[in-house]
Amino acid sequence: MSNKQHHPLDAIISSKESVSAVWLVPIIALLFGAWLIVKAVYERGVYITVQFNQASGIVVGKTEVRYKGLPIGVVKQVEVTDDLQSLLVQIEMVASSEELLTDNTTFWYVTADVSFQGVTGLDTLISGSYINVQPDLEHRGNPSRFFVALNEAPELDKSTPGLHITLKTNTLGSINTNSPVSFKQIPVGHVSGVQYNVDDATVDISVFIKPEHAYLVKENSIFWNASGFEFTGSLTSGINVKTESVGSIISGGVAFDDPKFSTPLPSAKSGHEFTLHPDFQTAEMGHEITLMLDWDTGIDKGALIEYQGLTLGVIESFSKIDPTSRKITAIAKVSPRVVPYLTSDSQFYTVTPELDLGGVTNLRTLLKGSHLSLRPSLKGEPQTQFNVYAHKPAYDYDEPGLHIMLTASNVESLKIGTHIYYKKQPVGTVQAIENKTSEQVIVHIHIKEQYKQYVKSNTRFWNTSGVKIKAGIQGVDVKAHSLQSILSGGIAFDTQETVNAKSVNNGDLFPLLSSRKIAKQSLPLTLLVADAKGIKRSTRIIHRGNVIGSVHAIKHKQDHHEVVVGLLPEFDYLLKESTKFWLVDPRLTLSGVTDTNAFFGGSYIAVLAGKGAFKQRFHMYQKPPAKELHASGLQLTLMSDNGASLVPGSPVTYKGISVGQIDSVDLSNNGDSTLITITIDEENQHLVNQFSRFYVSSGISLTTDLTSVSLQAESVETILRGGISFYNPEEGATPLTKEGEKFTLFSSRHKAKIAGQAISIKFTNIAGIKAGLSIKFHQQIIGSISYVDFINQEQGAVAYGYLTDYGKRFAVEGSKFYFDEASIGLTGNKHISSALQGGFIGVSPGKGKAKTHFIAANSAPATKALPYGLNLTLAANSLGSIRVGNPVLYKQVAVGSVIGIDLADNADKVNIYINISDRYTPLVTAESKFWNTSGFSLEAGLFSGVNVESESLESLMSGGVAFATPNQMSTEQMTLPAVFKLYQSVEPEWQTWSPKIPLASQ
Amino acid sequence: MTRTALSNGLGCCPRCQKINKMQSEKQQCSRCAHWFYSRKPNSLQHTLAWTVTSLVLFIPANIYPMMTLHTFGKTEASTILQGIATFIQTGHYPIAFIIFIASFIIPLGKIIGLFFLVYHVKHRSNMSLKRQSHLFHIVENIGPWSMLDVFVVVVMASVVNLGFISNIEVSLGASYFALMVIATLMAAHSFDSRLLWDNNNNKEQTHE
Repeated sequence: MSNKQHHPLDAIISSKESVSAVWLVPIIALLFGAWLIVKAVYERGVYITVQFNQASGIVVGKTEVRYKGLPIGVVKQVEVTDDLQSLLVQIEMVASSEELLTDNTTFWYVTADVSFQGVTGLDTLISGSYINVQPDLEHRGNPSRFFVALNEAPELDKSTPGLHITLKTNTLGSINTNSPVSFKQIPVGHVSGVQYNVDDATVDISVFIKPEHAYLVKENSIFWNASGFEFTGSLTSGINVKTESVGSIISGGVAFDDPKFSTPLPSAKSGHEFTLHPDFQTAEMGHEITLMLDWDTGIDKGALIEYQGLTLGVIESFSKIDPTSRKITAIAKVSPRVVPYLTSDSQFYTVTPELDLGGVTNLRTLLKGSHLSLRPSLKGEPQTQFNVYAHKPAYDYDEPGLHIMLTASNVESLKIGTHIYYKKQPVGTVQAIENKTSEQVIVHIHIKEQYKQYVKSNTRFWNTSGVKIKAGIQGVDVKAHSLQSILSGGIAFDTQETVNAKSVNNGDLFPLLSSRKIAKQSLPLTLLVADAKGIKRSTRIIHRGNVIGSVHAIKHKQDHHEVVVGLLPEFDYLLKESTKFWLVDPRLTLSGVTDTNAFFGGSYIAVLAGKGAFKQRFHMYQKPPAKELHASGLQLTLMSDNGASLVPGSPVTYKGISVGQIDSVDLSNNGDSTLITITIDEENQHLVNQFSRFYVSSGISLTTDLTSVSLQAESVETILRGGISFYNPEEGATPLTKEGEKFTLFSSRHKAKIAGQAISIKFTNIAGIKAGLSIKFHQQIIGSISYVDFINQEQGAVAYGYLTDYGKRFAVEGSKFYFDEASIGLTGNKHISSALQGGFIGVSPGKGKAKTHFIAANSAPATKALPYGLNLTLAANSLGSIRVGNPVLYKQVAVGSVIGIDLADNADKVNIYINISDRYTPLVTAESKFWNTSGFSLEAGLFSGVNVESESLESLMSGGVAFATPNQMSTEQMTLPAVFKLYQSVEPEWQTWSPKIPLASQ
Repeated sequence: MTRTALSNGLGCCPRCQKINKMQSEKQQCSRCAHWFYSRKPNSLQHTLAWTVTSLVLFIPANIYPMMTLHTFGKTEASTILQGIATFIQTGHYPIAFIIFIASFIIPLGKIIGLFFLVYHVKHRSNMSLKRQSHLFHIVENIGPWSMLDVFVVVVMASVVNLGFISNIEVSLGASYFALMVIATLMAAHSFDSRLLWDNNNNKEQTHE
């Protein structure tokens, strides 16, 4: 209480120093500082150590650790490991990153990288390299403070804004990290990583799509490997080179697009998995199906699935090859647009190239390999597993078009897919071939909708397979439907336009005929026969040498056979009550083939037209029936020495036109000749008159002489088939009306021609006489010897022959026949042409009554006169070297010739008959002198030398006659003497005569 | 022994410098009617408080970066000492020296000097009065120069503004630094230098 004590005093009042409010300032500062300290401690970074293999560019305190570009740490210290192999980098990370730092966190060093895909890390060029961190955002790992850095950037971290998807593929190709991913060639992302997935043995390609393009990826987008070039070449579409960008060409790339044939689904979310297709084409085929292939299909991986030439899919792989069931299971990808058509009713089948004699079918597949084809169907349950048929399966009946069945005895070259032709246009195909029984095949065919109306109930189908060659005398006829049908076979059909033809329903049955010909033979006919031997399918029905039908079927009944025959419709007139059918067999004997037609073509059925009511069932004869006289047409009988090569049914032709047929060939009663009955059709019977000459037109006749070769044949048809022809030498004669008239049948046309008048000539000298000798008048053939009857060796022979129609006038009294032959001699060659033929029979015409029996002269009678020119007779003491044919010379010009040489009647002289040509007749006057120029005159004188004189070389060699006429022209015309004297030598004076005598101008 | 005005009951008006006769601790100037004390009240407490504040602020001012340099997206924040170290590394020793003096030595020296003066007032040091005055004048006069650093930073921040290429931002450290300088100024201002010789007289009195 000192204060109280001092109170009265002037106490020193010292106010107690109060604590100033200014202390709040440092307190606030301290509090603030304390808060800062707490905050600093709280925010203190996390120190981690990262081991790098190299760290060029890492700067302590500068090099940042970034996450998405944001620095979240900085390098605090760099030191080398004890083993000097790597660097330990101490990094202070922001505190908030602490829980992200687990052993799943990855660090890698980012520097600039220049590659084909572009430049990455360009920012590091300016800001320096940095360490990138991929934190463990999912907090799955254990906390860790020590890390080993990756050598390169890992897969793009999934947290990067954008779309992260995975593509699955079998092989990586040239795809690489950072390979571009493009959408319609716009780069929208890149491959962020590639890794092999052990679980499903695929390569997983991580793809990053930039956020701004992420919406382009739909859940059903298709991805394909766009690496490099893609060549797609085809015959039809040319070559197509498809590339993505240049970068992807070199370094590979991935492209994707919206599915073309289905609605795009919503955009894909990150983590979606897609299949990476090896190429665009495969990528288009999105839908996977399983195909069960047969053993030998030739389908390989990559084989296309086509429909009407459109590629719908491709075989992608083979999953299973089963040797026991012989099936191959293939995985195929098909375009999504066909998915609705892939039902249990859809059918797959292989299309393989076929190379055969017929050509190449499916040529496209030859180049591209086999492919599969699809027959889509909207019916049935959706299905993803299909059997693949080796051939195109038959259409269902609900397929548009007409489905019908054909019955055939054999398929010949028909195959599935063989075309059906209508008027040579393919209108359908063979769908299936079904073996019903051992003898019957059912061919299922399909006619396209637009050709359906051509098939009617009376339509006839035939097989056009191969080539049909029909060779006849008229030529060779090659029938083929089309080159394709030659090669691959085919079925053609034809429909007759008839009113009552009904339309056809699916499933209707038609017979498949073996040829067009048979198909044409639509007129049905049944023949009943006890023995069907020799008759078979396609046995022909021949009427007058023409095939008018054939056997279509043979039905075997208990006691007989029914032969079903089709005839060409135009021969319906044959189906009459009395028509007869019989079987003609070929006969092959030593003497030749009697019926080449039957020989080559097999037995055939001949027809004898009858009369009466319409009839379709006939009894068939085994041999030709006798012709009834009252049958229609003109019945004639021909007599011949030999009926070889003539068979019933062969045609009778006139000028090459069939006017009738041979009915029968029989021996005459006495057996020395053949009787052939023929029928001339009513409409042609006016052609036959009593002078008609019938001859066998079979075969070929060859006539040759030195000047020509003549090959005579009626027609090739008759050569092969045999036949009878006739001609009328007398035109305009009254037609024959009498039935059963007999005619001679000549063995050849030539013989018929020369058969004008039968003559007989008796030869005493039979040397050179033989059948076949020609009878000639002045080198012209007027007849021939047909046979020689040797009566007796001493007495000679009688030659029987015919004179032609022209030569008939020689068959008169006074005509002389003689044998002549070629002579070659110093004095002249005669009848050289006959040297090869062996002589001929000459004739000198006579005048008088008709005569047919002659006695041959021993030599040719001298010709005394010719009907033209001036005939003169020269008388000579001896013939010298003058021969018939020697020239008659005037001033060494031949003006005539020696035409005959004979002894005078009283034999005191030799008569030489000469003939002066008309033009030179004025040269001969009554005073003309004739001399023999044969040989030459040789005058030899001591001083004049040798003078050889001859008229001409010809006369020197062969002799001749010359004459001269005196100069003075007597005004009075003296008649020529009957006989001129032929001087043996010439007077010199005669040679000086040179009168002027006007000649007729030439 | 000198006698102070206070000991003679006189006081000087700090506004008009008129010497007034001190009737009470606080009185009005007879000339300018300014209320004044013969000695600043609680001068030592104020000085000490501001000095402590400046010391407290000195720490974050040096820990936190003064400015942040953004160059091509790269951020580089530097404290005062880091900046000085950078200048030394780049060979700019004079600049480093100046900044070191102005930004580090002077503020620190001021704080130490103020503590010393406050201590001296409380516990009569052996330092001569002349020296003490000298110290006080130094502390008072060089104090504003510490704002040099702040000005440099602010000027650079406003001048170097090239966007992405280069950009300088004033950082938290500058604010602390400025506050720290202000606190030292306040501390120096609140220090009543007359206390120095008051103490000196008391000491002499004691000696007597």
